[in-house]
Amino acid sequence: MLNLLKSDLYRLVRSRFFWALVAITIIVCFAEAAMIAWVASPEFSHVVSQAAYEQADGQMSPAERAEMDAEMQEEMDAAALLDGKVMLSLTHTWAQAFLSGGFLGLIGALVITQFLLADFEGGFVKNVPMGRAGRRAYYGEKLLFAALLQAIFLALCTLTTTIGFAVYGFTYQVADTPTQIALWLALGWLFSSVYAFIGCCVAWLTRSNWGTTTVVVLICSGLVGSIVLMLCDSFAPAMPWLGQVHAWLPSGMGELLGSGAATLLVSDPALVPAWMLPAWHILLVEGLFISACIAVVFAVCRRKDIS
Amino acid sequence: MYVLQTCGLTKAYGGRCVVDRFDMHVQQGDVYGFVGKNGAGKSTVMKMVMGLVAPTAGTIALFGEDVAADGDACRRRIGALIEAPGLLPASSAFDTLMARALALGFPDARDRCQEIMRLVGLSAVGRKRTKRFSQGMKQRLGIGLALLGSPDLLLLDEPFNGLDPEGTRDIRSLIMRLNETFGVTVVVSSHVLDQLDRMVTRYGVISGGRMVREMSAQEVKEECGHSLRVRTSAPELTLVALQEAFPHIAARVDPDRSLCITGTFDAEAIAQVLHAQEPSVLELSEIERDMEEYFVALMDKEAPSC
Repeated sequence: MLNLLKSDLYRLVRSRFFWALVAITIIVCFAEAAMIAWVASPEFSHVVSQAAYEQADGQMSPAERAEMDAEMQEEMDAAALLDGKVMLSLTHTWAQAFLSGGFLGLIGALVITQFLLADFEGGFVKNVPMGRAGRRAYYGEKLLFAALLQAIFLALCTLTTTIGFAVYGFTYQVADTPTQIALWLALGWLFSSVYAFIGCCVAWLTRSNWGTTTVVVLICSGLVGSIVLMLCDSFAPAMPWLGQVHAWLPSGMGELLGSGAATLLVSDPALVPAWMLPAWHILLVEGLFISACIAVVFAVCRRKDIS
Repeated sequence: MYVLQTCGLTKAYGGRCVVDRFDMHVQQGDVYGFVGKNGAGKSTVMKMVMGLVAPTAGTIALFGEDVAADGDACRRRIGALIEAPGLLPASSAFDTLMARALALGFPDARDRCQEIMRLVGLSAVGRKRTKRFSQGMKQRLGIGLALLGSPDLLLLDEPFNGLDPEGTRDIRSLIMRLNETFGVTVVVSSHVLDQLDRMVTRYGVISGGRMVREMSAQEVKEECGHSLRVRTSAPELTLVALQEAFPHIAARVDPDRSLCITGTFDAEAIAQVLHAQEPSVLELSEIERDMEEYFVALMDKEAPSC
C-alpha cells in the first residue's frame, strides 16, 4: 500500500490539474481576504451611501431625506467598527473563508475524483495486480490518498487565508487556544474527507467523468443538503423527526464548524441528544458517513469488474 | 508444469455466456498464439487471468498455484497488455512508467524506466504526454509497462495493433528475444497470422467462448499443407485400420468427426484400404489450404461440448 501511495504522490506532483487547483485555492483565499478588507473600508461605505443618495436624489421629501441620513449614519458607525478590521476568531475566519461554503470539500473532491477516473479512463488500473488482496490494497490506498489530499488542501487553505488576512491587517477578537485550533482542524479535515470519500464512491460506482463531476459539485456546493433540508422542513409537521435530519448531514456539520472552535466544546440545546457536545456530534456524524463510504467501497466498488 | 492453466473457466454477463468452460494450457517457455474471432472471448480470458474480471465459474492456476489461494503473488510475475495500453493520458511516457515502477516498489525505479524506454524505442519521446502519442507509440509504451516488472509470463492482447511494419518487426523481435534469452513465456493474441507464424510455438483457438483446439505450431504447419479428409460412419475404427495399414501415418479424428490425414501420404493406397474396410466411406477429399483458411475453418467450427 505504501508503494501505491508513493506512486500516487509522484503522479500528483506532476499533474497540471493539481497545480491549477492549488493556484485557484491560493487566489480564492487571498481574494476573500481582499474582498472583506474592501467591504470593511470607509471607502466602501462611502461609495454605497453616495450611490444610494444619487439614486434617491430629487424624489424624496425633507422628512424622508432626514430618515435616510440617520440610516446612513448608522451604517457609517458600523463601518467604523469594521474599519478596525477585527474578525471574530481565527477558526471562525477559516470556516467562513473556505469550509462552510463547501470550497475545501469541492476542491479536494474534484482532484481526487479526476485522479481516480484517470486510472480507469486510460486503463492504467489494469497494470495493478487485481486479485483479492491487490484490490483491497488499491481501494484502501486510494481512500487514504483522498484523506491525505484533503489534509494538504486544508493546510494550504488555512495557511493562505491566515497570511491573506494578516496582509490586509485583520486582527482577531477572540484568540483560539492551540487545543481549540487542533480540534477544529481535525474536525474540519474529517468534514472535508467526507466529501472526498463520497466523491470516491460516486467515481468508482459510475466511472463517468461527467456524472461524477456533476454529483460532486451538487453535493459539495450544499445544493443537495439544501434540497434535503427543504424537503425535511416541508414534511416535518407530519413527521417531527425529519426536523432533526439536517443535524445528521454533512451540511449540518459545516454549519457547526462554521461558528469557529469556541463553540465546539459548549453544549448546544438544538442538537439531539442535547447532552452531546458539538465536537462529539460532528465526530459521530462524520465517522458514520466515512464508515458508510468505506463499506460501499469495499462491499461494492472493490468487486466491480475492470473492463 | 503449466505456467498458465484454466479449467472450466466461465464468465457470464446476465444470461449471456462470454467464456464457456474454457480450458487452456500454457507450458513454460511457450510462445502461445491465442487465436479467435473478434468477440470470441480472448480479452475476457486474459482479464480473468489478471484478476480484472471475476470468473463466474472455473479455476485459474498460475505457475502451478491456484489463484484463488494466492493470486496476487502469482500475478506480480505477469506483465500484461490487454486491449488498449493502460496509460495515463495527462502524464508523460516516462512518468507513466515511473508511476507503475513505484507502485511495484522498485528501489531503482528511474534506471529501470530508462532501460525500458530504450528497450521499446521511446527514449526520444519520454517527456511527451501520452495523449499526444500515435497508436504505435502507445502500443510500444503499453508493452514497456508490461515488461517493467521483469515478468515470467507476458499476456499480450493484439500487440501489433497500430504498429507500422518496422514497429511490428521490432516488437516481434523483442518478444522472441525475451522468450529465447530470458525464458519468458508469452501468450499473444493477434489477428496477424503471419506474425504469429514466425514466433509461435503453440496455438490455442477460441470460438464462441470455448477452446476449439490447442496444438503445436508443427501440427498447424502439417495440417495447413496438403491433407486428406475422410468421413466415415465410425471414424475411430477407420483410424485404427489406417494406423495398422500405415504405421507412420499422421492422422486424427477432428471435433467434427472427420478424419484428417496430414504429412506425407499416398492417397490412392489409403483409398484402397478404406474401401476394403467395413465402415462406409461418406467422403474422401484432398485439401490444400493456407494457414488463414485453416484457422478460419477451425474458428467456424462448433466447440466440442464438455
